[in-house]
Amino acid sequence: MLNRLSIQARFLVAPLVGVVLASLLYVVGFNTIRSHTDILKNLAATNLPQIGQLNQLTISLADLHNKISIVLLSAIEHGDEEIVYLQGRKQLNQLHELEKSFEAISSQHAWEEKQAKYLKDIPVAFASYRETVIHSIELSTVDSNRAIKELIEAERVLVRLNGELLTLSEHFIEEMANASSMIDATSSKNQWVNLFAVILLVTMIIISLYISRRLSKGLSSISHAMVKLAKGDLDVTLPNLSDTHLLEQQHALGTFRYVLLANRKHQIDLEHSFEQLQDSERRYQGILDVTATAIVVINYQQEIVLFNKAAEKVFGYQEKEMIGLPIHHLMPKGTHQKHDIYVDEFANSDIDYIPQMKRTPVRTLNKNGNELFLDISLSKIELAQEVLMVAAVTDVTARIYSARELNTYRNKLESMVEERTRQLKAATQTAESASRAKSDFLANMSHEIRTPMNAIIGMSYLALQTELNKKQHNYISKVHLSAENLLGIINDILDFSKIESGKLDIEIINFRLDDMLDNLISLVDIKVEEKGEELLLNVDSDVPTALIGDPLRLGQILTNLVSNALKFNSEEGIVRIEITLKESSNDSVLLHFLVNDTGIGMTDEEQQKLFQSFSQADSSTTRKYGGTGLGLAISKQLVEMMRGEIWVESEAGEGSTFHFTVPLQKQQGSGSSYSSMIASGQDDGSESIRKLHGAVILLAEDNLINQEIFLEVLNCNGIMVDVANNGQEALDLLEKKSFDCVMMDCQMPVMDGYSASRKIRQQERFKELPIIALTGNAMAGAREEVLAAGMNDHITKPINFNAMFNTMAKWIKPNSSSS
Amino acid sequence: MKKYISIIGLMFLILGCLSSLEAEPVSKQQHSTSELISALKSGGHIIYIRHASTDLESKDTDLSDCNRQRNLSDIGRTEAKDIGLVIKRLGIPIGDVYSSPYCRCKDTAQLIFDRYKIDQNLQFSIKKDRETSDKLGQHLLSKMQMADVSQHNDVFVGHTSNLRDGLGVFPKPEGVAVIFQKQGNNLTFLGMIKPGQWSVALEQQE
Repeated sequence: MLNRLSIQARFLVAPLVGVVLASLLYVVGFNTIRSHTDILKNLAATNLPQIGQLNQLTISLADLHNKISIVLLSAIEHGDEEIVYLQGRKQLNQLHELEKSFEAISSQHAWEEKQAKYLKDIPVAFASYRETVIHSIELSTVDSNRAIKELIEAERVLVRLNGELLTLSEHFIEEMANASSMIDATSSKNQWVNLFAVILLVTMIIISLYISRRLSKGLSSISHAMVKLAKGDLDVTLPNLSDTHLLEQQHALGTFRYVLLANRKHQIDLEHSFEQLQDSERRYQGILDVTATAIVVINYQQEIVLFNKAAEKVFGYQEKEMIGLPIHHLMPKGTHQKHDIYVDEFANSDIDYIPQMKRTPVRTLNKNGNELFLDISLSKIELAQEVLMVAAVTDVTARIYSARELNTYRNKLESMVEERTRQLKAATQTAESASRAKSDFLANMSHEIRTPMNAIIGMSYLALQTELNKKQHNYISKVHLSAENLLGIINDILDFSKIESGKLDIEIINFRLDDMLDNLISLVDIKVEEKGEELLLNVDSDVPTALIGDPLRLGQILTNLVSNALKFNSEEGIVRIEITLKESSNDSVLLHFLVNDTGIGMTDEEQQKLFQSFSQADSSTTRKYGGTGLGLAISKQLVEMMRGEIWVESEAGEGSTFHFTVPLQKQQGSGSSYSSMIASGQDDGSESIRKLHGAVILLAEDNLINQEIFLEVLNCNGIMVDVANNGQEALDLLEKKSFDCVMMDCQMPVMDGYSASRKIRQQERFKELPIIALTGNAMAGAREEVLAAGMNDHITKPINFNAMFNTMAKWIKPNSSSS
Repeated sequence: MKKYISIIGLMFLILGCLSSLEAEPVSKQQHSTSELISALKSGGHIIYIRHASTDLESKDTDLSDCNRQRNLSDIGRTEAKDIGLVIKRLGIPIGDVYSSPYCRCKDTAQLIFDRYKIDQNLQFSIKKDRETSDKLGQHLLSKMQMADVSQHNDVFVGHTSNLRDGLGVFPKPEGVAVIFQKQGNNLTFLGMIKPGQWSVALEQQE
């Protein structure tokens, strides 16, 4: 049966059975030992130290109780509560430590359910003992008898506590005893298994000895024959063998002998080829040695296999030092891993050649340890047995160093530039914020300046209405004129500062171009008349009148330009305003405005300074014509804020033409165009005054001077006025009497104009009552605020009375409500 | 035996003196009762009152149940009421009154001042382990330091050990009022007024 098994199997059978048996023995034995050690380990880890700790705890408790007794007894002796407290405190701290150590013991142990009662009883006993001791300490200086009684009670509790601890300790000992008896039982159960395994093992050893002996006989005869063959003695007699597997061996031996005979012939041929090969190699070595290019060749293990003379010059090593050394020898330490990956990728890739320009210079070391930067061209030679990598090396160290230096200089320069830019930026910001603060201040001055201006203009106006002699009339009219000029200047400065501080917003509201032009004409009319000039207005028929934009600012630009034109025009000259349509689409237009005068004109030089702040064409004209020089600067800013353009054409002595373009949106569904007209001073408010005759007005105004002015002006023109000093009074008066209109000052004590207007609008019956705001504050946004509060329109202070009457006439229909 | 005990007692006395030499959190000045009372009238002080006399038969077994605590005795109640009357008659301005959660302290505060706020951290620190009792002492000190007594005097009603642990002063006997002057964060121990001394001081003043 054994003969049929292969030799390998036969060799394997014996050890295999041995291993199985040994494993069996091991598993059985190991399990037994492990279960025993586990039991012992658990006992040792928990029970033994715990028993020790419990005993220690009991001893410590006894000791502590002793000390407490001494403290208390001495307290009874000297009776100082504080000292008892201090001493007692120490012992109580000790007691707390002992309680904690018990907690530690109990938490180490895995408790079964029936043991849980120890967990409850012992801490309770501890607490009871502690309370008794504390009570005893407190009593010790007050009532010594009772203190001693408490001390005895404490001792009783301590005995109980010790009893509990002892029971617990006994429990642990019992657990240990149970465990050791368990070890005895399992040991005897495992004994017969061990015996059986030993018998099997002995049998198996005997069988395997028999098999080995049979096999080794045949094998030794074959090996004798092999030894002979190996020595070159091909004349071998082969042994006679009956074993089938050994016979196969014998055949193989015969074939081997035949092959050896054939090989002897080949060897002679090989020796010849080898000589030829050596010649060839010497030839190539000679070529390599005279080449100027440094060449290093490595194999797949990255060992240097070739290092030519030029390479010796570059690196400073001799060829014989380098052959067989890893290429790492030439590389700085940190680059090894990267280099390995690179070489590995190249060796395994399909690419055979990498020219140097594809790669950045490689960092290497020469013999002195100095850095070298090399351009390397790589090529791969795949031989039958191995892959060789050939590196053609050019030293570019000098080039790299100079490039590096250049880079450092560039970085330094860049950071200097950055630093300087930052400083400049900071300086600019500081300057800008200072300028903005100044502008803010000016913008907020608006109200403060206008209120007294109103008094001056209003009062002088009233004075001019009274009987004055010629001299007085002359004085007062100059005061009036100067005040109006001053107001113009202040308005310019405030506007300019608002633009500067970014507080001026361009509105986008529906408006009619003809309304805007009406306003313009009423404003400049008086001046036109005074100077005997003529004003021509020409609006192209295709200019739409219903537009969307900022009529107030558009009017301001035109007023500026027209005022300038009037100012610089010759006596009885003509000022021409032309408005034409430059571009038009479905929903927007680009309007071109032109203001032309026949005045003194300007030279090219003067024109260039024209739109700058605080500058006039000629400083000498300042004296003659006055003005702040801000009008054009403001106009330019406003035009640009509306995304338009402004420019001038002029020649000295030939008059000037100011142009500006403004893009505006068209109101949808309204196409009525303006027709050309000629306007000259007609609308002086008299028509409005006629319409307003008999109207009853409620004036809410807190400033007494202003009250007086309004009363005088309105009464003179046949308008009846009731005065309220604040918003609350206005509301009260509205309850009692009905009015055609309310003129509402915005800033008043008690209740301001905005709140009063909102309250009025809350009442259904006053929904249609016209309310006109009087604002001392002509800042952008004032109008929105007024409209948002429910008012219909607003008049800015100081009051231009003609404009006031026009505005009032727009809203008031007298007798619509009878008083 | 008796000699032996007295030697040990002497040793403890020395130890006690040594331990009281440790740096205390407050400086000390001794003032007479009448000086203390006139100082209290202008505010700026902290009064620590140990609960009044108690019934020593009973023990503390449950902090949440007054019936299972050591409570004020009849004498203690009279003491507290009397102190309250004197403080009112003298017109001593009282700000916040904080009490330990123990019933003997709450009762003392109620009988003297007719009002109190419970501060759990004023509870009897002798029952706690060293770490907790140190914390409770420190709490008492910092609460006193933070009290704003510019217009009046703040009151703490509590036990012996907290004050000893926190400020190094042992209030004795039961019902004693310990007076600290407060200037900024500095507390100065001025002296103690025992329960019987209040009414004596009142008679002297009148």
